[in-house]
Amino acid sequence: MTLPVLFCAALIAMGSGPHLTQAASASDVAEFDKGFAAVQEATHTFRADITQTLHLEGLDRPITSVGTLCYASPDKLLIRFSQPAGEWMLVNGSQVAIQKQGKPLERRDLSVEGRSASHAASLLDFFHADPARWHHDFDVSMTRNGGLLYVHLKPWMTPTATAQGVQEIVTTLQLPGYDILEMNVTINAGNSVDYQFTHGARNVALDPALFTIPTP
Amino acid sequence: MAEPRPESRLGRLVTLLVIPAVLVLGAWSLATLRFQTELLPLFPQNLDSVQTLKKAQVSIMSESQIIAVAKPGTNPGWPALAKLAEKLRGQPGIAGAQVGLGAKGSPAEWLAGMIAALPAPRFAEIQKALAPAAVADRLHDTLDDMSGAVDENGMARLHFDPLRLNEIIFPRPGANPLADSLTLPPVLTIEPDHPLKTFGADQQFVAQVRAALAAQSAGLSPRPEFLLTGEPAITADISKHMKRDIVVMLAFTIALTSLAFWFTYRSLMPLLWIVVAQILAVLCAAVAARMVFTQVNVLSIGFSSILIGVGMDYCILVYHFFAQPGELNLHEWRGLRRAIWLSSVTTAATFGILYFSSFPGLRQLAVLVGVGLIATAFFATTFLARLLARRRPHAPRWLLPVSDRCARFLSRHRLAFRIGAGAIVLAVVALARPLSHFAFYDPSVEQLEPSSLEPYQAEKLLESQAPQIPAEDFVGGDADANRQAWQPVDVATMRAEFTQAGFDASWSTPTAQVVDVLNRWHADAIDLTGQARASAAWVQLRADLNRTAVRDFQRLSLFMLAIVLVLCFVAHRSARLVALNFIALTLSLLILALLLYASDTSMTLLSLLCIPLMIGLVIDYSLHILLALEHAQGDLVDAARHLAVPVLLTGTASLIGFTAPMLSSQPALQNFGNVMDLGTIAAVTSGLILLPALYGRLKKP
Repeated sequence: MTLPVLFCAALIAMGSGPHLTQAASASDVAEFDKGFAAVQEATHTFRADITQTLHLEGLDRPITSVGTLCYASPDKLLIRFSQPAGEWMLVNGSQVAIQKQGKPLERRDLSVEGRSASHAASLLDFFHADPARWHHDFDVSMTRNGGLLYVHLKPWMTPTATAQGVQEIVTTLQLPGYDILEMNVTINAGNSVDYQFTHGARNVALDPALFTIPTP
Repeated sequence: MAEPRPESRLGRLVTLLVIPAVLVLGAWSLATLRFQTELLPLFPQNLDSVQTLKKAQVSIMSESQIIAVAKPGTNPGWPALAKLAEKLRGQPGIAGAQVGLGAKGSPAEWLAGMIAALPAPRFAEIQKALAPAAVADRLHDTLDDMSGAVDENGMARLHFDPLRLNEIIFPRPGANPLADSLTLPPVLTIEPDHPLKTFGADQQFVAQVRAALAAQSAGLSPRPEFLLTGEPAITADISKHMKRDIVVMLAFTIALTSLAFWFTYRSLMPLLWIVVAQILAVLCAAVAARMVFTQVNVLSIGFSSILIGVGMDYCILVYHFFAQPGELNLHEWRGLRRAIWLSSVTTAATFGILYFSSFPGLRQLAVLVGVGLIATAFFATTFLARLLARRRPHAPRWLLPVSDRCARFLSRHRLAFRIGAGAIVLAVVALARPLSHFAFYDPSVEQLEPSSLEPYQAEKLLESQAPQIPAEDFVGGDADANRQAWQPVDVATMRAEFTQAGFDASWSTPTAQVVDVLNRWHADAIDLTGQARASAAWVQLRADLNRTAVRDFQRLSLFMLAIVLVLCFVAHRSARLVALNFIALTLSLLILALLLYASDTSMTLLSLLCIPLMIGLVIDYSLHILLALEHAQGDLVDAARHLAVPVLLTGTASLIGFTAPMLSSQPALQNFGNVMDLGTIAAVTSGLILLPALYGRLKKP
């Protein structure tokens, strides 16, 4: 684990104490909305190394994977894994493609299933932030602890699928630059995915071909 | 001088006694007659495939459960459905409710059933995968599988089947229908708190379930909308539609035949009597249905309209006789009465041919129409004749001149009509290629189902959400050998392997349940091959029914042709006239072929047997016309005066009678009516229009 990640983790652990976090006021929320939106609007591409930790109900230990996340405004997101190698998931508009090792490519159409059926699409929704859309799609609340801002997004609609659907996304941002440190996606009760971000870089050159879903 | 009466004192007494008896018994029959709402009882019960499917139906689904399937886009999610099921318990009429397809359709039994029917080598692989060391290895692979790209569907699938047994059931590189579908469909199974013994009870339970679902779903997001299926819903819905069908068909037939009669004869009171006579005949058939069968099937509900359509014949002949000017000729009346009785017995016998069909559905229809036709003849020659004799009707003046003009037109242009007959033959020759590729007969069973009704829509929805498993995959599996070969797996040891690998009971339970089912199957405590047998039987059913229908069709058509040949020889004693009868028959079959092709209509397993009926119909018409022409020494005008209007009106009434079933909600009946209508058009065209033109000794007008 890299030093910044450990540092962030320590900060998060510290910040999780109820005496240290404080709910942001309505005016703060509006300010953070505006601030984050401004940063994201200026972000055309984003790349970061990620550590993904999957917590599944009934498993006594989490499952960890490592990879890189790439985002291209407005609607493309790719997570390519180095551990395990060869796996990736890609969101391009309403199309989602998931490549597992030794498995055929799985494609999903979110215009049919709904965006909350894929947590990757929910991640993309976070990156493509604009306050009006956020507040339309999510119940947004924020807490702040010193230089860390925790953004809680809960979809307004109850998940429609039986086993899938995102229940909440909690993102930890470093103020004042709104750098993303961590995202925790609760898929459903007991099942969640943590993403820890390191080496985040905005507006880097990304090959558009990265986001092309291979034709069958 | 008093008019001679067409009926003796004894006959009058009998009629007076019969009518109240028919009214009382008819009312009792209609009140107590049950509806047979399923398709399987229509098919030959001695077929193995039918028997297997009947047993499978009972073993797969309870007879009293309602299955509620959430419509697409209204699924509130598994936890919400579970809460809804909890709230439903104890609501009026509801004893229990659960998410999923109930105990008889549990996913564990379903998956175990699929494993049981595997070919022996793949079954052995399953056994190998359940050995303790293999379980540990597979669980380790499963953990690897869950790292990397998060596939929500894959995770749900692995939670249900962490040992990935589905990959052995459907090995690569072939498609795996289970891959996308191990999440359970949004379904509730609801049990009644009382036995469902009548249609009323079924309908009440369905209404209670609907009310409870509507009330308890309030507040869920999205609010679920359910389609109901299961035995009570099917029975309630189909019986409701069958009742509606009977009323619609009867109203349609009575209204249109009455309109056709009134348009021709402009006579209102006699029309009312005719309708009463026909309703009495329908009640007689209902009494027969109640006494002989206790229930009517989806095909037989068409009997009343067919009966009124075909039986109108006798009423028209009686009316026509009494509408003739001058004094009643009792001698002629006796002749007509004998002819009507003979005709009713002959037509009933024509329908009676269906009694020798292997399909119970058609046998029932044959009995009801047969009894009804004889009853129509009885009421037409007694009740109706007495009323018409008392108050003589008058045929409209325009009727005979119009009939004469038509007959003269036909005589004058007989060459054109002969060319028309030739054109039909040429058309068939010219269209030989497309006709030979056209599916005149479609043996599929699915098209007989009333698929537009809610319970069938719900079943389709359920099927669409279940894995699309090709039935052929499990036909001819090694179930018996597999049962013997199965080495019981210790469920506790297997669970311990799961725990050691870091998986808790929520991960091990589904597999443990499947293994437990397989263990019980090995110990002969449970039958797992019902589903596979049902799949095999369903594939077999189509072939069985096809074979039976074609055999019936050949047997009954030949039988009918033989009878017709004998009847024609007895009637004509002339090879020339018999040949003419058969030319009319051939022409009508060619016309029917063209009509089926033009209207893109295929005959079904059941309507295939319209062909023997049509043979009888054509010969009936052609025999009458040829006898009349012989009697009138080739004078078509004279022959038509006695026959054209009644035969044309009879044909029209028959058309109406066979059109009515097309308004029903039963595809089997709709197709039967459609094919019989086309057959009647072919028979009238051939027998009444083309045959006189082909009669060689036609006098020039």
